[in-house]
Amino acid sequence: MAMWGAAVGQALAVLLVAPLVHGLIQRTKAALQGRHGPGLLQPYFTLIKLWRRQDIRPTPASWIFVAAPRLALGIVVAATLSVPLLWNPAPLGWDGDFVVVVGLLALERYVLSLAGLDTGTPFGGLGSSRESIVGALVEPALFALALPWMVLAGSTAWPALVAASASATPASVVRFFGLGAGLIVSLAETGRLPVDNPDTHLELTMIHEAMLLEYSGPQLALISLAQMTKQLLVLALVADLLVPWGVGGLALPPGVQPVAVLAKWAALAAGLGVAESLSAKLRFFRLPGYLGAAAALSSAAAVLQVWGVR
Amino acid sequence: MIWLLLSGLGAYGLAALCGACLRNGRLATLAALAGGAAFAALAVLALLGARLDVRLPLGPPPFALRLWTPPLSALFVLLISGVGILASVYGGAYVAHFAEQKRRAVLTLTPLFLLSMTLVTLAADLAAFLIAWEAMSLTSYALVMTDGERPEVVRAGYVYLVMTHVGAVCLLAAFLLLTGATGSMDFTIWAGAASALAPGLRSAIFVLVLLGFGSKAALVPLHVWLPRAHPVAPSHVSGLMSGVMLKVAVYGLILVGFTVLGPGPLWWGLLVLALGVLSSVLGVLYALAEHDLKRLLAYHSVENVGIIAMGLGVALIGQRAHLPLLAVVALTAALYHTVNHALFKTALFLDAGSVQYAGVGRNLDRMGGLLARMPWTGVSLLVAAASISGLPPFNGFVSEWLTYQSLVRLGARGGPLLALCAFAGVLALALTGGLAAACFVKVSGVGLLGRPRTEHATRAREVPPAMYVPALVLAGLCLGLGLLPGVLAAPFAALASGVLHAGSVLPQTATGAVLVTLPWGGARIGPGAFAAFALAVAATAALASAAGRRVRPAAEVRAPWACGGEIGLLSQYSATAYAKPFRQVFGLIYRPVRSVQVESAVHPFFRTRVEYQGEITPVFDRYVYGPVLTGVLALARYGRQLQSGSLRLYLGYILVTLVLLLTFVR
Repeated sequence: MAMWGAAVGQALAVLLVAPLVHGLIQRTKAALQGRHGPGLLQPYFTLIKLWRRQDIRPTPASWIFVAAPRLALGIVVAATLSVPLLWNPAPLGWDGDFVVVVGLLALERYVLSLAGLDTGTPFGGLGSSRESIVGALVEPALFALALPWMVLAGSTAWPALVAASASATPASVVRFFGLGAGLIVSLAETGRLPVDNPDTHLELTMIHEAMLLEYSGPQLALISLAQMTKQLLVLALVADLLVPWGVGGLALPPGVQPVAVLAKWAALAAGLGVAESLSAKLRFFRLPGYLGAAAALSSAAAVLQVWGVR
Repeated sequence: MIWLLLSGLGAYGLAALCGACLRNGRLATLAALAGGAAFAALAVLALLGARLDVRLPLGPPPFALRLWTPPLSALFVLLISGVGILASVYGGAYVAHFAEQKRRAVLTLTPLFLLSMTLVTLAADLAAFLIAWEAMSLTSYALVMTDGERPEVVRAGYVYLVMTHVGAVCLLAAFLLLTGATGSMDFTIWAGAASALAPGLRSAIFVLVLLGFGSKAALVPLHVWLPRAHPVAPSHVSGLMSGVMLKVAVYGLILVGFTVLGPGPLWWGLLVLALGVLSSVLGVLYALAEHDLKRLLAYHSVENVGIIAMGLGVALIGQRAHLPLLAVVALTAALYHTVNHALFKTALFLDAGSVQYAGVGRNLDRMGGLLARMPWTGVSLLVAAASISGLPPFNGFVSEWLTYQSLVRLGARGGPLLALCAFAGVLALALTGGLAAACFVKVSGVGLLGRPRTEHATRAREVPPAMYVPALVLAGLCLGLGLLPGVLAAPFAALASGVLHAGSVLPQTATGAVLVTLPWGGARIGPGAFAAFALAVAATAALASAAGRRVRPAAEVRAPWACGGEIGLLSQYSATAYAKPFRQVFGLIYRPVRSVQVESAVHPFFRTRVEYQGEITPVFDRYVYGPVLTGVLALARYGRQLQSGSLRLYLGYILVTLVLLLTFVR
């Protein structure tokens, strides 16, 4: 019972914090681009504004279109429950491992892609098609990211992965390669430059936004919240695999530990903003090479791990 | 037990007889159901511990066919009979719109097809196995030829017949080698004696068996017949062929590879793993480029057999490398995926048939908006599509999870070289999963959602219950086996350790009734994760519908945004357009060919007509089978010179043969 209580508590906390992380990334970008930029709390205001608006649906849409935003948010929240965010193991860490989390991320993408096609417009289909190919290429990269630690731990369970990464040499070639791949994967999974541009509605370059073009009001609020939560989840996932300290490995006093982990997240989120500001949008058909580089880097890391080069 | 066997045989026979002679197909369907039920009951009894081992006399004493029910056979009999029952129910309604003669042919041949598949898995000696195997091939060939008046069907049937007999020749050669070496035709004696054979002979047998069963299971590059033959058969037969007949070949591979031959050199497992990787990635890539729904599904069978082969390969490696736990988990993964694929692939073919029955045809680009018009067919298609994409909480995810686990274990324990193979396997499986999900977004999204693209799709109506209920039952099983993964994983692990003679290594904690817990590393999946998932979704949905109602106006339905214009029916994204980025990104494999012709008036900007034609190069037909075919024909031309028509020369041949035989064989 306590476990389920912890799970509900963590889910609510994640939903509350996710917009703040998004705001932090936006602030970083604004600062780097020399803009004044919106405040840290702007994502909350945007969500509240959307929530109060009328919901307008396109004519051809079926129940899939209506169910998709709710499913997407539920799926992402469920995925956060088995990834160690603040503590290891996570509230539901006992039943979900790395493969389950990757599977849930794929399911979220699947549901939203269906919704994109459900609108019966060229934009929806275009977004779905592009999102699907990015997803198909990110999935191997994501697996490759965890390969060195899976091999070291001999398991795909989160506690074992975190412990394996925490116990390995802190500054090693394996981790260095992994960080490069992790950056690429997190930029792709959160729909950021150079893969996708979250701040544009220019038809020809959109991926994720094109797919969701027909969503408005509360439905859009749910999807935005799901997207922000997913962003947090991806950051946590990459951090657990590559810089697990605070969650695993480093013994900190109970009062300091959550603060330290939150600070780590803030640093990672700011890092994501910096990385995005430094890159230009890649041409769509250059993406396979970019994502392939991530898979290749992590596979190289895994091979080094197996051969005992640390 | 023996009475169940005889009544099953009798009922299937009666069904074939009724199908051939009676005008009304209902009795034939009922008899086929009875046959399926009898064999299913037999299998359940066998799985619960009862044993059947009989010799059916065919003549004087040595001429008898031995049938038995070890747990592995019983599992496959249950699969064949269960899926067969649902397909028979569907088929009874589906053939109603066929011409009289075709209906009779299908109703006669389907029970015989089911019976021969059942007998292949029950066979315990060479004669029984080969007779049933050949009957299975011939009945399925006859069913493929149902629309035999169309030339492309004849062509497809011919390719199928040739490939299936090339496979049968390999099997016959392997089995004769075994018979010659052990002096017996009995599987039990083979299993006892085969491990003592010379290594070279065992490897030769293994390769022949892999070729034989691999061609039936459609492993790349032996898959070329499948995307031709499966789509042209009646849909429930396509479902049986893809869902069940390929699995009979998997059964054969397990039977000979594990039970009879036992642990072999490392390269056996590596070869099977490599074939699995190749089949899964190429199968799903070719499926993506396809927009004939049934051909697309046929290519997905190649992909899924590849995933099963990956499990089998890891199991062979594990057996060799003395990692019995690894071998058990890998074989469990293969068995689980075998069952899963039978369920979702049959459901998908039944749904494809229902769409065809509703008058929409097989081309995805002519569908659209079918979920609103055929709600039950649509829902079963959605569920089966999510299952085949390997997404949680459906059954495909569980078997892919188990396959991942075995590959990771191989990477951790197998040493550097095997670890590299395991990495390749993990990456290939991840890519396959992602591409399969993309492909089934295309199928469900373009086929079921959006607006109808043609008049036929607009007029589509739901099919009769006898057709959508079997598909719904299969879809329900897909969801159930995903939500409660341990229900099958536990007995399958026990079965796998029995097959691998690893009975004692499997700790009791390794499997539970509901959960799947691995015997290492603490990874597990179970209803907890899925319950959290369901709760989170339900909570979100409740929040979304309840909390907002007071603060905003009610939802409204409006025309979608079209840059200020109107959206024509054909400006929706089509399946071809959807697959476009994939064709471009994987161009190295597809080698796409396209031609665009533009007619314009006054100025090139004012186009009156644009004609687009695009296709992908059939790489295997052209570069693998093309040279082989040319070679065989050239050989035949040389061989023809022997046949001069001269009687004296023929007498000379006889003399030479006689002398040679007398010299060498005495």
